[in-house]
Formats: sequence, structure tokens, C-alpha cells
Amino acid sequence: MANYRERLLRPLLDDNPITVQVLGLCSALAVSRSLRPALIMAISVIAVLIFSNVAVSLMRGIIPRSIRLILEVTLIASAVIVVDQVLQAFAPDVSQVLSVFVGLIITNCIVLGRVESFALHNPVGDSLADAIGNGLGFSAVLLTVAAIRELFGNGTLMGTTILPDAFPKNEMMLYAPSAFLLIGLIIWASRTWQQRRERRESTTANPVNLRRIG
Amino acid sequence: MNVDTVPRTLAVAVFVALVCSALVSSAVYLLRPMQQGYALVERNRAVLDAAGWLAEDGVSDREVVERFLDLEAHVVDLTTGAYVPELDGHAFDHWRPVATANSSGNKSQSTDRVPVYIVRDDDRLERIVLPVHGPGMWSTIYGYVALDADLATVRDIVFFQHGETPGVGDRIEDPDWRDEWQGKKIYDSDGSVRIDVVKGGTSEFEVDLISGASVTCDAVGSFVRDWFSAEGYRPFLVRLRMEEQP
Amino acid sequence: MEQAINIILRAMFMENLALVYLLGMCTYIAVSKRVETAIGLGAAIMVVLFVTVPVNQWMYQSLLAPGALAWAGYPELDLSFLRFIVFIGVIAALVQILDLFLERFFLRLHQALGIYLPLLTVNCAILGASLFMVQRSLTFADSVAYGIGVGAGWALAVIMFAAIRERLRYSDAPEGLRGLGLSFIVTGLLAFAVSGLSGIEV
Repeated sequence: MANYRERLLRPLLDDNPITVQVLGLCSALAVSRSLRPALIMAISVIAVLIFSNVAVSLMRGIIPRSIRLILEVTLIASAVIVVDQVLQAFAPDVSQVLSVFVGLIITNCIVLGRVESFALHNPVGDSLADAIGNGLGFSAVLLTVAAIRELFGNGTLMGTTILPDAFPKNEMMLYAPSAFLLIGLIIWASRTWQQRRERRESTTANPVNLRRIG
Repeated sequence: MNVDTVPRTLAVAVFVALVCSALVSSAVYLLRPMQQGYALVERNRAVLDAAGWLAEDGVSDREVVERFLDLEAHVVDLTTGAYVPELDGHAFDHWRPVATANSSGNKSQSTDRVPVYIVRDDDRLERIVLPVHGPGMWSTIYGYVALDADLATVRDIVFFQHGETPGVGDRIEDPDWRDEWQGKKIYDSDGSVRIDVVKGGTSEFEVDLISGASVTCDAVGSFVRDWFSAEGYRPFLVRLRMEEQP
Repeated sequence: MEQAINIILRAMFMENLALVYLLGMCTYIAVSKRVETAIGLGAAIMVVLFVTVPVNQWMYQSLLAPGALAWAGYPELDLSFLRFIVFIGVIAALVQILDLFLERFFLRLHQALGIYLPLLTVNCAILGASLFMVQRSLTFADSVAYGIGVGAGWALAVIMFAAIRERLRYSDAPEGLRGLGLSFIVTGLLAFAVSGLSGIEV
């Protein structure tokens, strides 16, 4: 059980798919202009991740080497088509906003990345936890960027106005490249915090090393 | 079990293909009625909005359909400018075309027949609603332009569907921008298409574009011009003007 | 001919997949540490796009577009929802072939690209180009030009970026920002710069 918790939590910071594994950027940037589509996108990605990881993990014993890639992609694409159809039927207004980007979940590097590097070699339970963990890690960064961009670019969050009218809106936030800049800053912050934590842990865990240096 | 033999590989491939097809087909089959019903209601709501028949908020879907059926609707053949009487204007959906024997499907404007909607006051034509569409920044933008009785002045422009970027391109739906279009003239006295979307446009033929959404606004200006040119509605409007003269 | 040049120029600059539509970023950032590898990646992407966009156009018009199956007697069928799978299938097959080809004839490039060559299959730029082709209803000839244009544009973007990154290695950035963080910020600035071209008419 502790194993599952660790697998769930690790991708959030140490192994965050976006900042560390450099994955899943495309849809992250294109959809991060406001919070609501970003939220639906995050849920869709988690759904596809869960389906593909579980399906491939179930089949990992019988996947032939020569058609491995196409098989995985077929499974992922089918999941995305189903998600797209469900969105069109039950949330048509959001589906319209997400349009091309839902289809591009197929090409979201996180999905294939986790399938190839994890689900192929691990049992179903672990793969499920891995999928949820990575999905949450991806969502954390996506929703943070979307919240900042919507708040400072539009003064709203989820459509409701938060900032007073007099507060100047930063139009640069509404342009896609600003997502890059924000992610760059997030990486800087998380890396610096991580390095500090590692330094603290290594000094307390290995007092012998300190003596050798000093 | 060694799966790398040819027969086993084929078996796995066929199995996955069947499972995925079943999954996708069932999803599409089960969800399509809901999607289609919803899609047409939104389209008809946009038509009613452009026609000025959607003055209050919270009009139910059924009310939308009933009012829509009250509108006078025709299918126009753009090449001749005449009505096509055997096609039902209310049911006709040119945005989901059915291929005829000689359609190549390769032109960007692959429809020659479009539905048009006429609002009458007693017997006099008061307003006409014309569908327009064209490529935006991310996907196709669909909308309706409402013209006044003179068939040259814009009364309204309503966007029905688009995939433009939230917070930027989708501001073409803002009431502010709709108001910009009101009263603008499409044609000048010679009948040439003069309407355009430009930065800082103030004349009776120009609509000011939304800053930050120039790609989307330019796209809208471009396809609106195309739709009112000689390849679009002009032959029809010329004929209609002659017919509506007392 | 003029139409083709028009399309190519627009696809390379005003509608550059990497810097305007921000597609293909994963591979873009991960495989641009050295100009040599970037050139190899750019070439690979150009080849893939040059073939997949026209092939997908042909498949879409013959099989999937609404009414496309009229020749088989099913004019009212609309299979456009299958375009995701069909396009990806074509792309996956082609990338697999390219993978084998590189392994046989260009081993060093194959090793340098590593896991990112199979990942070309799910490169947003490649699928995105085919999806844009559908949305813009390009003819077969136009889609050939478009494939060339977007490939060249993407290759140009990644090579530029690699050149900048090589120099960045000697910069004195704060430790947490070095490497990945700085790459993101530089790409953001590049994207802003290219967005200035968006108003030009060709």
C-alpha cells in the first residue's frame, strides 16, 4: 500500500511529467489560457492515461514485438475517440472550445511515454497507480499555468470575475508563449526547492561526509 | 507463450482491432443521436438569434425548434441565385454535405446550396439571415449574418460554432463586437463588396478588429467578403431585390 | 506553382507549427542540445511530413469525409470521426519504416535520436499538420506543398533553437534555471518573436 502511495505521489514533484520528464507540453500550452477547458482537458488526459496503462498492462504478456507501437497507439487513439464522443454528447460547449486539442491527446507524450516505459513491464495495479499519479502531476502544472493566465490575463477564474475592473490586465498572458515562460519559472522554483531539500537530507543522513569535507 | 510468430501476431492484431472497433463503434452509435439533436438545436438557436427572434434569455430547446419552424426558409442555389423548391429549407443542413455524383469535395467552399431564412413583417421582407463559414485560426468558424430589408446593411452577426482560442479568438462572440457590425454596409452603391475588418476601422464599410485576436478577426472578415461576392450570395441578393420590389 | 510557393511560405513562417501553434514541443525541447542532432531530427520530420500529409489527404477524401464513400454505394456515411486512428496508423507505419531505415544506414543518428524517433509517431506537429489539412480542405497538390512547408518550418525552428542552446551552455544562469528552465523561456521568447510575423500577407 505504501508502494502505491509513493507511486502516486512521486510524479507530482520529483518526477513531474512536465518539468522533469519534459512530456505532455503540446496540449498543456494550447489549452492553458483559461481554467475551465484546462480542467476538462486534465480529466480527459487522466481518463485516457488510465485506460491505456491498464489495457497495455493487461496485455503485456502477449504483445508481439513487431507491432508493439501500432498496437499501443491504436488503443490510445480508441480511448481518445471515445472521450471525444462523450464530451461532444454531454458537454458540447466545452468540446467545441477544446476542439482540435482533444484529438491531440493521442499525441500527448505522457500517455505513450508511460505506456512504453511503465505499463509494458509492470502489473495492472501498479500501472493504474502510475497512470493516476502522472495524470495528477500533469494536471497540477497545467491547472497552475491556466489559473495564472486566466487570472492575470482576464481577471477571471472559471469564468467568474475575481480581480476588480481597475486591476490592469496583462494581455501578454493571453498569448500562448507566455505559458512557456510560466513553465520555465515553475521549473526553476521546483528545481531550486528540490535541490535545497536534497542538500538538507544528505547532510542529516550522512554526517560522515561532512566531516570528510570539513 | 511466444507471441512473435506470425500467426500469433496476426491473432493479437485482429483481437485488438475487434475490441477497439467495438468500443469506438458503440460509443459513436449510442452518442450520435444526442449529439445530432443538440447540434441542430444550437444551430437553430443561432439562426433565431440572428433573426431577432430570441429576445429573452432561457428559451428552452423545444421553444427554439418551434420558433425556428415558423421562420420562412428556402434553399438557394448559389450559382443561379434561385430557390431550389424541392429541398426543405428547414431540414437542409449544408454544413454536413451529402456527396452528389459530380462533387469533388476538394474546394474549400464545397457547397453550392445553402439554406436562407427570411423574416417578414406582414408581407414585406424585414430581415434575411444568411449562413457564412470559413477557416479560423484553429478550426472552421460558422456563423450567420442578418441583413436589413435593403439587402446591403448588416443587422446582426451571430457565431454558431468555432474552435478559436478561449479568451482571445472567441471574443468574436462578444456583444461588443456584434454591435460593431450593426449598421455596416456590405455593398456600396455600385454593388461591389466593400465590407472589411481592419484595425481602427470606422467607416460604414469597416469593422474594427479585436486587438490580440487579429488572426481570428481577419479570418472572419475574409470569409464574410467571400460569401457576399459574386461566387457567394450576390447573384441571389440581386434576384431577391428584384422579386421583392412591389 | 505560385499557389504552392504561397502555401509553403505561409506554413514556414506565419503558421509555423512549432513557434506559432506550439506543436511538437516535447521532441523540440528534448532533442535540441546539439545542432547536429537537431538537423537530423529536422530532416526526419521533414520526410515524415512530406509523405504523411498527402497520403492522409488522399485517405480522408477517399474514405472518411462525409459522402466520400459514394463510390462504394454509401453516400450518406460520415466516417470522419475515424480520422484520428487512420492518420495515426499511417504515421505510425511510416515512422516504423523510417526507424528501420535509419538503424541500417545512419546508425549514429539513430542512436542520437534514441527514444524520440518512435515518439515521432505521436509528435503533435505531425498529427496536427494532417488535422489542419482536413480543416482547410486542401487539395492533393496543396497538401504536398503544405507538407513541405510545415516540415521546413519546424526544422528551421528546431535548428535555430539548438544553435541558441549550444551557446547557452556557457551562460551563467542560476542553478535551478539551467538547462530545462532556460530552454522553456528561450522558446517562449522565440515564439513571441515569430508571432510578430503573423500579420504579413503573402
